[in-house]
Amino acid sequence: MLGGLDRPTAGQVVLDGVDLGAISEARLTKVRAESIGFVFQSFNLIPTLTAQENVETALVPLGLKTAERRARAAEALESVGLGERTGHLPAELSGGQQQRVAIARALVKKPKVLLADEPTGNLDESTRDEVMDLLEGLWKDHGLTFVMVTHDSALAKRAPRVATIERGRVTVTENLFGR
Amino acid sequence: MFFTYLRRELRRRRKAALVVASGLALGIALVIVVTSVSAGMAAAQAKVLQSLYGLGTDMTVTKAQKPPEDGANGNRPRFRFDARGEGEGGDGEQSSDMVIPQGFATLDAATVGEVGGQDGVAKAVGGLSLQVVKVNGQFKRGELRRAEGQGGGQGGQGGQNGGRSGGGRGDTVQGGGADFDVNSFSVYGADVTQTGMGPLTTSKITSGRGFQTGETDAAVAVLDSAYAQKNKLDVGAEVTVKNTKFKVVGIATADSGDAAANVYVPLKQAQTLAGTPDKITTVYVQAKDSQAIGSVKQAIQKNVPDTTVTTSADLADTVSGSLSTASSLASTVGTWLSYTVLAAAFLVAGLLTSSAVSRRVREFGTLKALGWKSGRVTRQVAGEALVNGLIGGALGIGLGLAAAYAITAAAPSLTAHLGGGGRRRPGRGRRRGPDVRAGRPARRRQGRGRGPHRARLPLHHRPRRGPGRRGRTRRRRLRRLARLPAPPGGRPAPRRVARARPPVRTHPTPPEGTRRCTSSPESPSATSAASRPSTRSPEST
Repeated sequence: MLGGLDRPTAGQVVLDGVDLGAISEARLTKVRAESIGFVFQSFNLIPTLTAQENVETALVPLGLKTAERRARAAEALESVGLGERTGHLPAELSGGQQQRVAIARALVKKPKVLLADEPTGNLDESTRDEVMDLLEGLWKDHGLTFVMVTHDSALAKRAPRVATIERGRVTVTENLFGR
Repeated sequence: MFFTYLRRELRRRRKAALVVASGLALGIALVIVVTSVSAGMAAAQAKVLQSLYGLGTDMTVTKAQKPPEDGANGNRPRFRFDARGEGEGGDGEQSSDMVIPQGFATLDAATVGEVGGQDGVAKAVGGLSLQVVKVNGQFKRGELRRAEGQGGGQGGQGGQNGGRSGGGRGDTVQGGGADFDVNSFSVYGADVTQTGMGPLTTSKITSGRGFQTGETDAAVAVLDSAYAQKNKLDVGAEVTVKNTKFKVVGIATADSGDAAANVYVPLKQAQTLAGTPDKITTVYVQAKDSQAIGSVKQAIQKNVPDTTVTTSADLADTVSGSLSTASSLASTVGTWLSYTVLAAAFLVAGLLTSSAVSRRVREFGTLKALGWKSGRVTRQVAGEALVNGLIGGALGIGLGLAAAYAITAAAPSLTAHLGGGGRRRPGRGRRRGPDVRAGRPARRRQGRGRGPHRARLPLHHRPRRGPGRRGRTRRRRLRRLARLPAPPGGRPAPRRVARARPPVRTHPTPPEGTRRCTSSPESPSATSAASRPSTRSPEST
């Protein structure tokens, strides 16, 4: 719902002053393409495309020229530390590397919001820390809004603001900024 | 990106893509094969018809068949011989030629012009098909023998020539009889001024030349190559038809199947031979518009009385044999089968594609989350399916053409027969079956490599009394009476020794051809092999 994939039946989802529940499908698609980056638990890379091409898919809706698209994708992969692996298929990469490709894909279009649905759920602990460090670093560097869903309380502790959802309702909101 | 993605998808999922493509390919190939095979068969049938008609002939006009008048057996010819024996004037050898217009029905030569004047007729050419039957041979007198004592069991009656001796009671006549050779061939009188049409156009002049337009009444002949070979004739030789000598100027080889006639002569010569001046048997008609054949046929039938018009479509109905069977099989069952397979192939391809799509729903969800428009995702999938289909189609066309060529190369030869009735096995006696159409050039199998056919037993030698034996026993008995030599390859003449039991037969059965007499005119028929001439019908193998 936050990512504009579902529409709320009641209430509002407001992004940058735009009510995502009220705008047309076409505009919603545009918002997704330009402003929101997704990172999924199971990476959701396209298995037949290489890492480079997977990152490029995020740029397709922006209507960039091929050359620019390539350059930006390569740059994004470089920033997640996979500069050497651009030509590999997802199946040839480890879980951490795949998730890093997914992160590169989410960030390549320089979104306003990065939504991560349990980005470390399928990763072991060391890889998890690796990926989290990366995400945290990017968040700080890019200055974007980073929303992450996690079951891992250790990870949750690293976030400045935590909302707990219990039986479908947001029950606790901790603001760690004012600590 | 569109093409990159498409290429990647097809290449990395090539197994699934190949299954879909090859399914489609199979369906398309089958349709191509069936279509081409049935088209080929239709073409072959047309070729069979063409061999009968000649190039460019759309229809023929012949005299309408009428039931014979009361008491007359038509104007069928009869051979009449004197009962001359040896030593009574000459050597006793007698011969008689009979030249009969094919089907005994002739049209006035003016009909050609009349037909040519009809609307929609581009060209009309007349021709006279003749059947020449030559019978020669001699009679032998029987000898009278006095009976010993008063046995009186066998009152021998030798018929006409034996009866003259007027033997008393108890006398026997021995020996005597007849030995005749029947030779029959066909002659076609061609209009030499119009060489572009008629039956001779199906043959190629392989030696010598064809008729020249000036040779309207010249004593020249073109021989069919098969006939020429059999009779050891070549360009420059002479053939005699009913005491008229013709100089052979050319040898014609039929393109396929049998030739229309054995001997081709100028029309006027043929008319003189038959004693039917200004008569023809067939008018070959070419229509101006091949689509309007039906209406031209109607016009001719209406305006030219007493004629039968036969179009190639009519003749096509009479094509029988394995070709026709296979052709109808290919065009009906085959067509339905191939379309069913094609439909099934499409269905399978569709199912496989849709299952592949549903397996990739998650992928499409991701793409949508990345901001891809639904249209773009749909286009991507449709593009994949399209390319897959195109590959399948191209593969199918290639496969179908290859299969069609393979079939052409390895196909069994099929035979076709024209005319109604049963099939004829080449070289085996006469063909039974209704006389479907008069006036068509008949094909003779006369004496094909088999020597003269003997008229075996004159009617007047048949016993008027005695036990009603049939078949072999009767033939033996009659032969004995007539003192005729046994037919070649036949059984040894039985000795006149009374036996308690018949001897055990050790000799082989004589060849088939010697059993039947082929002197009666056979029904007009044509055997012609399609695509590849074959002298054997599949049933006989």
